[in-house]
Amino acid sequence: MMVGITPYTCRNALRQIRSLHTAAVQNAEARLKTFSIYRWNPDKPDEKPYMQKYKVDLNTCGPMVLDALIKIKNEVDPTLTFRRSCREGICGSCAMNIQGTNTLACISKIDKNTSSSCDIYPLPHMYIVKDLVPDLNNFYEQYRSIQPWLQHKGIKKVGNQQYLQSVEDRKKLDGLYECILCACCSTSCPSYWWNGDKYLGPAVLMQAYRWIIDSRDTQTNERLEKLKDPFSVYRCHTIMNCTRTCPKGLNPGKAIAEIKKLLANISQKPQAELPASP
Amino acid sequence: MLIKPGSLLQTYRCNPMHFPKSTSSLTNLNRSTTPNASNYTKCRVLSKLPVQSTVSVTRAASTHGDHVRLWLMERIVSASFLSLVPAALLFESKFIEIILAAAIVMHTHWGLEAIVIDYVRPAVVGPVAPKIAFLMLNLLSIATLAGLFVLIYNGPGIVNIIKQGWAIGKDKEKQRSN
Repeated sequence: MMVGITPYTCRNALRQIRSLHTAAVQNAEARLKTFSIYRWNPDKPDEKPYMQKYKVDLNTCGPMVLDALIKIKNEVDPTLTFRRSCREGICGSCAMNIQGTNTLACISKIDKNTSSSCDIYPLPHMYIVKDLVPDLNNFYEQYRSIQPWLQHKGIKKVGNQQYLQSVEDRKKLDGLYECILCACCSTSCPSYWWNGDKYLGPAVLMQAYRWIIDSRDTQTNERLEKLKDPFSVYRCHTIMNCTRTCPKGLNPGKAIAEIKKLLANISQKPQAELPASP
Repeated sequence: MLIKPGSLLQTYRCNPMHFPKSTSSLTNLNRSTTPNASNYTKCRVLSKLPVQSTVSVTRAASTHGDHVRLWLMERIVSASFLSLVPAALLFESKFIEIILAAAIVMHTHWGLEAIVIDYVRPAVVGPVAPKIAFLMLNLLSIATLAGLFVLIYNGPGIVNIIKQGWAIGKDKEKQRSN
């Protein structure tokens, strides 16, 4: 009998503790923060996009903008559409323009000042699928075009040995491999706004550099050859919005500069310290 | 069941403008089922997206040409101003002024050219306007170069003109102090 009762009493006790906590919160004065959110519905194509205002009590809401968005969707307006997944800044789904800055909603804190509203737009200069959801097909297609995988010529039997890399060579990938492809940087770049069909954009170029500089990759020249046209790389005018906005603190502007140096033979890819196969 | 790429492309017949290549993550849904069974729902989902993904076409059109040398020239000309401008101001020599005039025109030409490429795009203003813009740009650069040469050969020289500009108002100051 004890086995059956214990979980029940346990749950009751927990419920009481929780009610004590929430009571204190509910008794406090409501701190209503206004969220002004971009809305557009593809099912009503004649209706123009508009900003919709929602009021959220910060006392009963988590600290991040994504918490507020989820609260609005759960409790106020289930038609509000946005992407989210990991809620801790590692998946890049919830990239959007918050208070004029491209960032991840899950790791940007709500401004506690309730006198001003929080304006949320989708990533700028992208086609919109619905509300805060941009179409990233072009972005992903560009990522695919740089062949983001390790290419090694000269090893005959694939799959029966490791590709070796020294610790120093591995360190060259730090600051590059952490990119989560949230598209915050690319969509903050004016060059990408104007020539997004031909210019690859900072996020994709940083990944291109990540594979160019990898000591185990032997296709460096082939990769660079694909980038030397007037548009793929050279639409970068070093505006540096990419580096300024990156929610992961990476530096795509520097990676593009390194690509330009490699293309112009100002710098050379260093020799691998260890041969990839012994 | 394995589907050939050809049959995958056929599923786009409902709206050929959308997704000319298998760009969508939805494409892979087809692999596990028979293509015909999933055609209808997939087309309905995709045609709701108001987007044209023509990236493969435009990428293919833009991936030739070599911009490396031009970029290198741009950097060299930009960096050369660091020594060229002080040298021209110091020596006031005709030879340095000719080099300076050429460098100024090249520098502004490339800068304005980048602006034309960014802001006078065929996708926005149609196919004719960019050509007119580039023609105007060339005319402007030629006129600028010719004007600077007139200053150098028939006038007081670029540096002298600038120094005369700086001297404006200095006479009054002198009169005041006297």
